[in-house]
Amino acid sequence: MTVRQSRGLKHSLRGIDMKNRDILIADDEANIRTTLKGILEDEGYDIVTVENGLKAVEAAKNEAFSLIFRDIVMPGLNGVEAMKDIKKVRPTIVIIMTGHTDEEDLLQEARSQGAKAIVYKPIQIPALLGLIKTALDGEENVSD
Amino acid sequence: MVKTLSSEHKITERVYMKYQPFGVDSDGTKIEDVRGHVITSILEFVKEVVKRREEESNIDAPPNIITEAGEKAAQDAAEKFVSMLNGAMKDKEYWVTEASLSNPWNSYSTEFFHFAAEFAKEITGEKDFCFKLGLQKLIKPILSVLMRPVPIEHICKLVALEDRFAKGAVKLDVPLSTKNRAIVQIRVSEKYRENCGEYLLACAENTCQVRKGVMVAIPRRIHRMPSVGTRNIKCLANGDEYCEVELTWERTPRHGRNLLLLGVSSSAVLFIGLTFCLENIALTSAISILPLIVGFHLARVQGLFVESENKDKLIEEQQKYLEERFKELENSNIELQETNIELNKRLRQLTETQEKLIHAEKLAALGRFSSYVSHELRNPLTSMKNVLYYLNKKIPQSALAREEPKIIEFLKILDKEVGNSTSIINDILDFTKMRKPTFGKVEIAPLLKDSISQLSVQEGVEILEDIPPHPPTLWIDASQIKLVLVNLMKNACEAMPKGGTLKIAARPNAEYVELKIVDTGQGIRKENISKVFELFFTSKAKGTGLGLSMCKEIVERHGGSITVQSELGAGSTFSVSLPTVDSKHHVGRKTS
Repeated sequence: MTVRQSRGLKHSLRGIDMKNRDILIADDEANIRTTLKGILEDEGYDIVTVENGLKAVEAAKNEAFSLIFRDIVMPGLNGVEAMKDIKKVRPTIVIIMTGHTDEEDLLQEARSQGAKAIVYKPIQIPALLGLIKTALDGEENVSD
Repeated sequence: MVKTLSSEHKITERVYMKYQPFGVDSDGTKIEDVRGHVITSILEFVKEVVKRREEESNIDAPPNIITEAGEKAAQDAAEKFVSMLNGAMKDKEYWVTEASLSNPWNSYSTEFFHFAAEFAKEITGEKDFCFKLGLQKLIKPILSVLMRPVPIEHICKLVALEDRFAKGAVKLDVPLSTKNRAIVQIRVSEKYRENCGEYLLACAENTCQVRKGVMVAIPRRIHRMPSVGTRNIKCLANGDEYCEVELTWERTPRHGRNLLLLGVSSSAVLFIGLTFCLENIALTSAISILPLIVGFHLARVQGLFVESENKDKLIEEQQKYLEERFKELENSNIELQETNIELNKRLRQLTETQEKLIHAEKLAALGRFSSYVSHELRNPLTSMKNVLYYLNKKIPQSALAREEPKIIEFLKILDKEVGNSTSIINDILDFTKMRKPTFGKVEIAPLLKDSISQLSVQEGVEILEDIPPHPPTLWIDASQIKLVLVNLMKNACEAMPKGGTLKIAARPNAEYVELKIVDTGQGIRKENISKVFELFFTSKAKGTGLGLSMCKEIVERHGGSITVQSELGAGSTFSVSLPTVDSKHHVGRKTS
């Protein structure tokens, strides 16, 4: 069974009818969204992409994501603010922030406000995959 | 043609001087209408008058209080005089000081003189300031000393002659000069009239008063005449073409009058006596005339004696005076030389500062631009990397790769170039991110270990460490210095493409630790060694030229230094000196 299948089974066993998508990717660059989605879907994750903070909050409210992977600086809602909003709705969600090294202070603030991890751009894919797996496994432990 | 105003309108009504007060004017002519000693005398006289007045008003106070009050009043007056003059000159370049006004070797414009005269009148409250100035201050000591042997009637002419050589704006003529009377004419030049403009009458009055003072002073001070009479025949201030003044004085007493009288009376007595004794009238006359002749000559000798004594004294005075003037001139020259030196020093400092500013501005501009460009490039690079990851995952095992083996090769090339691009962008961003160092205690061994771990060392390169057992603790910003070390070590590795030795040594000195990065690579050309730390200098085909320049910036901000020694074909040694915890050369405060 793939990760996805095992999840789906678990949830159907529990009887939760809310769709539990895996990962929400928020980034204002179209190509980054496309390429990340392609890579992660190939690894078996369910991906939804949005292009700004407001839409990210909206999406998080409507669907139960396990993990949100977002760029800290995007047009519209401030990264940390958006994170707080999302956490209000989904307290158990795992949020990974990405950013450039000169957005250091923002990234550190995000971490102190509850982001699970921060990833510097340009993103190293192998490391990222490992991080996502650990993060989601952790969540699984919690919800179990 | 300017309409001339009445003499009640003073030139200070202009508020600001219209003409250049001193120096060389726009035509290249030197401004020498009025000699510096005149202005110096005005300043001195202002101080004297104010001082005297203050002392007189405090006559009941104890003597030292009187002197103090007098001197303070004089100083205040001098400062007021200077500030009034500066207030009348819009161009700050011409602003004067008490010191510059006290230099008798300067020259000024007519307008400047008249402004000074009017301000002097205001400060002292003395209407007759100009006349008194001429009388008391303007007989130059050299004149009074040189002129004493000369009879009064010639002096007036000589004064006029002297003025002729002065290239001033005022000319004197003495058409008549006798033993007790002289007529002096004062004429002004076209330039004088131009300078004064509509205030000609008030200015002429000043000029006339000053000259009259001088003319009256000559018989009084040089020949000690008790009183001198003056009578205005014509005056510029009344609208005449020139001033004409008649001076009258009493004749000089002659020496030896007493002896002569004695001779005469002796002759008379002898004549009367002998007439009774001798019968020969001729003999009597001859004998009695003798005392007269003797008396006469004695009188003359006495006169000559006195004159010769006087002349000796005069010659001494003249000599002393000339020596003083010579000394003054020498000092003036030395001052000029010192000013010159100071100016050169300032010029050099300004040039250095300017160069630093330009460099800083270049860096700032570079920083802003590079930051922007690199930012913009990072997202595209991320996408490219992502695509490459995916392609590298899918293609090598695919049928396509088996059919077209070049695909794998090309994928590798793409990988490499994306890596290169990332490298370059990181270099640029590192450079522009240079912030102020945050100092802290750092041990050498872990610092080097960290730096080496960030290297991708190629095959054939051996790394040696040469660190003494208990090296001193460094006082540096670890992340910045790591950047420097990694940069230097990377360069060293790149210089040894076919392998070699990379040695890292630490040499503690008194206040610094010297870290040496030695390679056995291709070395640096002699002509490039001095340029190696310059911004944008690179010998690599694909280098950004930022690395070493950045290293130098960082090290220097730490208060350290970086140098290089190299031999083409043999290798290079980069030496970085960094301050230790105990060093007095800290940049930044110690926190214990």
